[in-house]
Amino acid sequence: MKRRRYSLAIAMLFISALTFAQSNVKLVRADPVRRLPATILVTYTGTPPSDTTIYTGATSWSIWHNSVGGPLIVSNVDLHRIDFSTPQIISIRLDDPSLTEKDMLSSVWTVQFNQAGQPATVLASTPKSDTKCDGTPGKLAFLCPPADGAPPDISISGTFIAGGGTKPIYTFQLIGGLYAQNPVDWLWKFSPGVSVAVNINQNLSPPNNRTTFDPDSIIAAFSLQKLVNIKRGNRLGLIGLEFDESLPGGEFSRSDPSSNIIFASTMTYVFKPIRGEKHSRYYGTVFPIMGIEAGKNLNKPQMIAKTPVDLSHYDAILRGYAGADVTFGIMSNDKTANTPATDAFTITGSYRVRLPAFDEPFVETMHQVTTVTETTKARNWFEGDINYAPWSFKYLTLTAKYQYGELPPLFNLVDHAFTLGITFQAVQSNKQSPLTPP
Amino acid sequence: MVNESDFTIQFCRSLVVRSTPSPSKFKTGSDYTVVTLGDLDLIGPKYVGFYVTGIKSGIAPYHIDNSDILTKRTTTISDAALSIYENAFLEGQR
Repeated sequence: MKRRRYSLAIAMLFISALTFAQSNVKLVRADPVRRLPATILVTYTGTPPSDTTIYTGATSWSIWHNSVGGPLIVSNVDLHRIDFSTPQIISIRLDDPSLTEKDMLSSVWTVQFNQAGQPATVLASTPKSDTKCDGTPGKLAFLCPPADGAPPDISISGTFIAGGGTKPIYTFQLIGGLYAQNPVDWLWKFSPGVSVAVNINQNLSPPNNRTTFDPDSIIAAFSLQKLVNIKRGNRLGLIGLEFDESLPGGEFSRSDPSSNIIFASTMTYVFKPIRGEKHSRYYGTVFPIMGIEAGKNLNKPQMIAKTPVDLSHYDAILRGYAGADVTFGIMSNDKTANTPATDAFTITGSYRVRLPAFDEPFVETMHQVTTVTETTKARNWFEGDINYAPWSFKYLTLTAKYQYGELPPLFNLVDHAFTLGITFQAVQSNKQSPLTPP
Repeated sequence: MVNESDFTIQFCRSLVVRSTPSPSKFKTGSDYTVVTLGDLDLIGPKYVGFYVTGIKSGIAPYHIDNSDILTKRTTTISDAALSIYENAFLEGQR
């Protein structure tokens, strides 16, 4: 008798659960599949319905579409092709052979679910062509605010120092790289693009009486990039290799006219981030890089910083190239759907060493005395950045930057330069992959 | 190469998980509508590049525009897969 009572209670609970499961389905979104046969996907939350008859009745769905300014066109539902096999998705096939890919792609689709005794649920799609960076309706810009931390595709940072006995000293740094979104078959599946790195007025010791901008280092090149995925789960945590081939490009210095033509080939090892389960907002990344630079000097200055120099032996260029990019970041807490979860705070360190095989000039100014030597000694470059990005800024971050080392073509020593400033940064909205600074 | 009958939303969900830096963080029984790309370590532009490359090669012979592949940290696996399924197309259909 007691056992029967328990069985009855369990059966009642089961029926209640089923009823609840049936009632907690909430239709939240309707999206057209942008290829034929015409299909609408309705996303729902809640437990998958055990009884699907209310969704397959002759009057369960009313579906229509219209283009901008066009008439409403009703489409019939193929009641035999309403599919519930994917949790959280109801796939509805339309029985309308007149529909085209264009209708699916650019029309606004409205889906109405009719249930006896209940108010109808109406869902409307947003044409993909009319979606802004943040996913809201509007026109998609070519550049979007970076959603996922440094480095962005384009970064322009500027600072200035003002004080007694010196005119304001401006410093600028531009780093950018834009690539075609699809690999090109005849380029061995590389994606072509252009990359640039410009450093202006990096030697910013006051007093200073000049007001012109002196590019200390400009590196610009047409680039080819290829990303090779590696099967996840390997012991090293390596997820892929990035190959960057800079086609013969230029290294220029305007202040002491010098230019090189350089071909560079680098490979970056991309390891998965280091990130704890407990404090998942904190993460670290390490990307070692190695490669080679080869080329030729095109233009030899006679004077560097008013110091006569003899660079007659400066011709062929061959350098080994190695380094690493390291980032420690803290993600912001903001997780609202339309606002990208950005990094609230990042510390990035970037180290590069160039190892010339042949003598190259090395310019050093210490205590306002410039010396120029031609050596094969290693040329180091270190840049450390601390970025703070209040999430409402989107395109701008507050930046503290430290630089030390030498950059081509003349390898002027930048001697412990600290700057504070604002960085504008953006990502290419249709990119294949982000920039690797040259 | 995936054929038409295998190209389902479920396939896209599996591909999304496989293409993130840490697919092993998606445990058996995890909810596709709750777990986000950020939870599987898609947290930087470097990783986004490899993720997009993985998706594009995984759905061949279908194609997809890069801008149709959702890569935000807050995107759920379900939404990311849905976007791929909805926007994939065969060459010559556009």
